[in-house]
Amino acid sequence: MNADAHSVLVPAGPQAAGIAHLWWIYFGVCLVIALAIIGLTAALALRRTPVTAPDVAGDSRLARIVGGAVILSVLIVFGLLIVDLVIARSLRVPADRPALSIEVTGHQWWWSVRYLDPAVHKSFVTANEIHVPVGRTVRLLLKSADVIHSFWAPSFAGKKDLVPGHPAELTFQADRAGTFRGQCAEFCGLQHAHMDLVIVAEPPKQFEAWATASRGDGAVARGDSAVRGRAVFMSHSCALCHTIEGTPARSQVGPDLTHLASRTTIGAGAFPNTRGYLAGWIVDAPSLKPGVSMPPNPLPGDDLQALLDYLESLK
Amino acid sequence: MNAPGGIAGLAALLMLAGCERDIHRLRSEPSGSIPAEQAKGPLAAPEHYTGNALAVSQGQQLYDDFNCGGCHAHGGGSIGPSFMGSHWRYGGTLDAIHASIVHGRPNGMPAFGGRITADQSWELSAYVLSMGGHLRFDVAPNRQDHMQVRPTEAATKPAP
Repeated sequence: MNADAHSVLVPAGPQAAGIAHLWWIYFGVCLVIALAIIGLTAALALRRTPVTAPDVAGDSRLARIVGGAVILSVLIVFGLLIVDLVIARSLRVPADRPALSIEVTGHQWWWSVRYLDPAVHKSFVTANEIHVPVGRTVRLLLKSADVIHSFWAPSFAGKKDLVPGHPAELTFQADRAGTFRGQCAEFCGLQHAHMDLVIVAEPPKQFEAWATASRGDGAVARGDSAVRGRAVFMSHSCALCHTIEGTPARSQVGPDLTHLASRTTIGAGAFPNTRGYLAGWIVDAPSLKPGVSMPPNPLPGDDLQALLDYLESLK
Repeated sequence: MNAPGGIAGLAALLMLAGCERDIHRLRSEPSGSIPAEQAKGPLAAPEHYTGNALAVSQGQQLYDDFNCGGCHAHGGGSIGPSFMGSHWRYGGTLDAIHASIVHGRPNGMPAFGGRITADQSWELSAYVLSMGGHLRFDVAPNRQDHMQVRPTEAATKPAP
């Protein structure tokens, strides 16, 4: 993913655009002031005639200049404050605007994502990857399962903390399609730096197709290898922590794997979702991402290949 | 006491006592790799679990993850026995609790051996001990990840 997929200055929605505008305004004002001060200081330093400390109180012209500068400073500071308030106000989304509601729960060190729907049977769960339709307001409900995390997708909005016991909301909108990156922005433990999110903004029709596919159960195992792989999954300790909808595996300790093969990364953005990395993750996740709750699972070669075949079928 | 020898000595003593408490052992050996290992006798170094704050904290997390509270509630017991009283059905030692977790017990306690790693089973055992207030106050967890329905483990006194 290139740098534009997670840059504060390359906004992909109105909230991020407002923040970027604010940033440029502050940058411009501060640049002008900094250049003026540096210029004046340089002019003073390069004077040939010696400089004596001025008597500000006694010299009324100097007093007027200093007084004027103080007033100007106050006006600039308050001006910047007003710019901040105006932009922030313009980005606020009314609470009653219809929006796509997504509940994001932070864990150490992955993201659990639940798409909410007034028709409860249409809700579905995924992990580490969020799809949003372009042009529609998205309301994130942010919760934490353990410690304080923070949701930061710079292409869309500012940071919002996920505080355990205190659910929060973050509203944004994607204005163009693309794949963007998010990350955890509050130190949450050993792997805080490796807790990424993939955010895919897509046209509404494509989003609906993805959502419909995601609502479905995990693919039925077809072929000898995948069937054997499913048996390996159920008989080992995998089912103790993972869910695959449509199977007896229903635990919520670790990420939902129902549509694992449709995701682009594993380990919360740690590695690409390829057969090789997945094998390494299953067999020895702690050596790839020290501290994760997923234990090593040494499997005989045949079992591992069968399990990979099954997992790759979970589109 | 007479400084500096006395203070230095006290500081050294406190540091030594705190050493084991703060070691982070991050890697669990694979689950089910050697089931017989988990059934072996007393653990070589029980203080790696009963004296280690991270281990007990992990045990607290695992207790919720694997739904132990479904039968044992938050230590007070429900359809499963309580961990906060003075009577233990199979003995209230770390090894007895570990055997219950790994092998299961009659009348409904499932056997987790081979499904969870050996480290996880010892961490859970240490946490069970902490629920009765049997661990040192600085090792037992002092924060719960849910609504507080009982004193924290660090503040629990063992039943007489």
